[in-house]
Amino acid sequence: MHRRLTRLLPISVSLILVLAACGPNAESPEESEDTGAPPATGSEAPAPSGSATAGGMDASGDIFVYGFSYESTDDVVARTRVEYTQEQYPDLNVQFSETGFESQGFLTSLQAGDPPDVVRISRDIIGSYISRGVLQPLDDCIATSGIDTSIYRPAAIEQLTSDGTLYALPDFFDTAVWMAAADEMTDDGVDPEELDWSDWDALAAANDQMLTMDGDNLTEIGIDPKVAGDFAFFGLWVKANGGSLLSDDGLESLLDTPEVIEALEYTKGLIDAHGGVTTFLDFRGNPDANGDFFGSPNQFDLGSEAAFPMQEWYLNVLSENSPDLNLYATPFQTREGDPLTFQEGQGWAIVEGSDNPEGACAFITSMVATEAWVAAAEVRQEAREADGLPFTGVYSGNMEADEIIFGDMVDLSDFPIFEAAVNAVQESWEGAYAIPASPAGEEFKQIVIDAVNSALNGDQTPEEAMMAADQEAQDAIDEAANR
Amino acid sequence: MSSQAAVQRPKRGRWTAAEKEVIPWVLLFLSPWIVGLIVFTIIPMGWSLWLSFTNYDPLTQRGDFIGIENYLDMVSDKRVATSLFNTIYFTVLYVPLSTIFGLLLALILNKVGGWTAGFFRTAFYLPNLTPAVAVGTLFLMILNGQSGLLNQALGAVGISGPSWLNDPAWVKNGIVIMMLWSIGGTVIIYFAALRNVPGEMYEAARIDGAGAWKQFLNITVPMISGALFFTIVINTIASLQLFSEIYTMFYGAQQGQGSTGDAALFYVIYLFRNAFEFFEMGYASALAWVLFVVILIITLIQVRLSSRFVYYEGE
Repeated sequence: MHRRLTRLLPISVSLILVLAACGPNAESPEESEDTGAPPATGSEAPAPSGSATAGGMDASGDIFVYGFSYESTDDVVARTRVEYTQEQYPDLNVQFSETGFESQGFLTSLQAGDPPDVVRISRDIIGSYISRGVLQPLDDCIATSGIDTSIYRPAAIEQLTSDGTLYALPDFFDTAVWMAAADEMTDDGVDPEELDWSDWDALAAANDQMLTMDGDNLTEIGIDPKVAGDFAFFGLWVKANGGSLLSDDGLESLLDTPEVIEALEYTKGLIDAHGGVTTFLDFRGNPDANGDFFGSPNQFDLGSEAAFPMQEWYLNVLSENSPDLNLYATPFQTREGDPLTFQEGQGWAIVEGSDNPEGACAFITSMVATEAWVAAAEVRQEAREADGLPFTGVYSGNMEADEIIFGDMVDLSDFPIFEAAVNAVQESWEGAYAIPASPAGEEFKQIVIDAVNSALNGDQTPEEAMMAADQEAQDAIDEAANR
Repeated sequence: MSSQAAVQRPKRGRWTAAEKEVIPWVLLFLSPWIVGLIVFTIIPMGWSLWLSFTNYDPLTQRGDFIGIENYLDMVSDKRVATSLFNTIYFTVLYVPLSTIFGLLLALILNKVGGWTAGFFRTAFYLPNLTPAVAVGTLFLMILNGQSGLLNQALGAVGISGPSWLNDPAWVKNGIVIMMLWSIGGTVIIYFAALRNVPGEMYEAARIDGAGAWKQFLNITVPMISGALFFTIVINTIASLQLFSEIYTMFYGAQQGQGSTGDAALFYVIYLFRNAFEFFEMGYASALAWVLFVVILIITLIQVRLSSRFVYYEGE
């Protein structure tokens, strides 16, 4: 008997330890008791449950948001909107991943059967997640919250819609305009006001005139088309050329069309004029010669780059680091001269399997509410004015908020150069288009980037690269769509 | 009691009564490792093997059995061939170089005495403590074609350095240089092996008229061949699985900064992208199993060869 017990004891202990290890986590949010801790403080304990209607919905309990930082960021636009949401829904306890969206982390949480309630995800890859049923349709959320979706920018809404159903609400609305160092261009003999930015021959000639080589060494970039490794900007050139990377329904690859191939040939030509892509990228990435893109002196301060298309948020960077820069900004244009821009940003979506869809709905609708954006803009405006810097606005996907921000708040009369730049951004909005949501969103994007890089490197001609990419992309789309 | 049991053991493979009595306790103390092995290695490997025969989508969590289709697809997937070539190219360059440089540094360390010895040992090992992501970021600056430290150093001796980050022909060589920066682990292993070589052997060789090179070839190398073999096997496996530094430098957030094409597409990066960016978990699992088989074959060849070249003291 004693011997049997001696044998059984360690086995029993082992079994208990294993079972204990495999059991539910006693510290998991679902299991933990309310502690009365304040809401939305990252890793702190959940707040007490209850109901609240301050934000117009009955939202309470816990939610977990993936792909967004609150505690770990000093971005006032992010923090202010969260704080606005907390005021609206004091009984809603929100915890954040404190990371950007990262597919591996998101996937892991789904696989573990513990999905986040809300995810903030880039709009250009959201199609992969919509087509696989990972995100909840927002029909119920829209009905419950009573939000008016017509206040959001149509191009952004289109990107978040599949088969007539909206799956996410748009967050930022990033667009692109031409930005140029006016003095540098003038010194190089090109008048930015006179240059026809829609004429590709004129742009190529200006590029040749502005770029500077010292023997084999590049010392100034003329025009950077921004296509090396960049999906959105390459798509912009294609669109300007009258083409598209994808069909409107996102199910057909158009990479083998003449407009796409011509756009690649043209932009490759702009880069090759600098001595090839290697010389071009080495120079662009050289902080000694080309400055600090996000600081000062930057490429415009140093006169090492003349012009490039860039997202509008870069105006904020320039206004902070180079407030005295003689910047020239104008909308990117089609070859017919019409303003054109891609639009990109993130979408707020409720994840299928959320334990608290009501709370998730309250959170996402509040984060993109007009009042939230305006409150965030006010905080940023105060900070900029306190530093004597121009406030160039906050670019949301909410048109109602933008009307208030750019109509009543943004006053750049003391900074006419930045005023003109902001006007150019607003003008470009007329030509904002949505990159269709493809079921193979991320894979399609990678295939395009790889093909563009392959052509830029000279591994393949633009035509060969795009023909091969088209077949690969179509296979990926078909496979994703048929799952 | 235990010595008696050892003496009384009647036949090989048969447990004595005393041994049987302690088996549960042995299992208890081994259980954390056993459980870890089962939960974190054996079950995932089995699951991964099964997934490799399916078209499993991790988002929908659905997948059908498709037989060996994933394996057949790999044959026609040019990126598999490219990534395999890149990985093997790196391994073939890195493993011999890490062995040569590691041994060279260890020999120097072995000669250094006094208070500086500890400093240099620490200095050589420090790079190994640097997180892989930080190493990748650091070398983006060091390998910059125009302003990087490496090309500045080459420029000082009249050599115009290549574009390590943007020229597809030089990208892999740049990665080899980066990885050689963190061979501290190899150096420490060689250093420990060198310290164990009996000094009398060198003394006897000197009396017999052997020079430094002959001593190195006929005493040092054979006496540390066990350590050399170990590091070659480990470094080969690590090279074939290289991921973090490359991903940091050429993929993820850095992707928009460069145009290296597939020059930096290493095998595990392609595997990762299939699994977590394209959601082709079945295909990624097949890639993983092929890598496992490749590593197994290479390791078996190395083990086989080791019986000819490796000397174990006491054999």
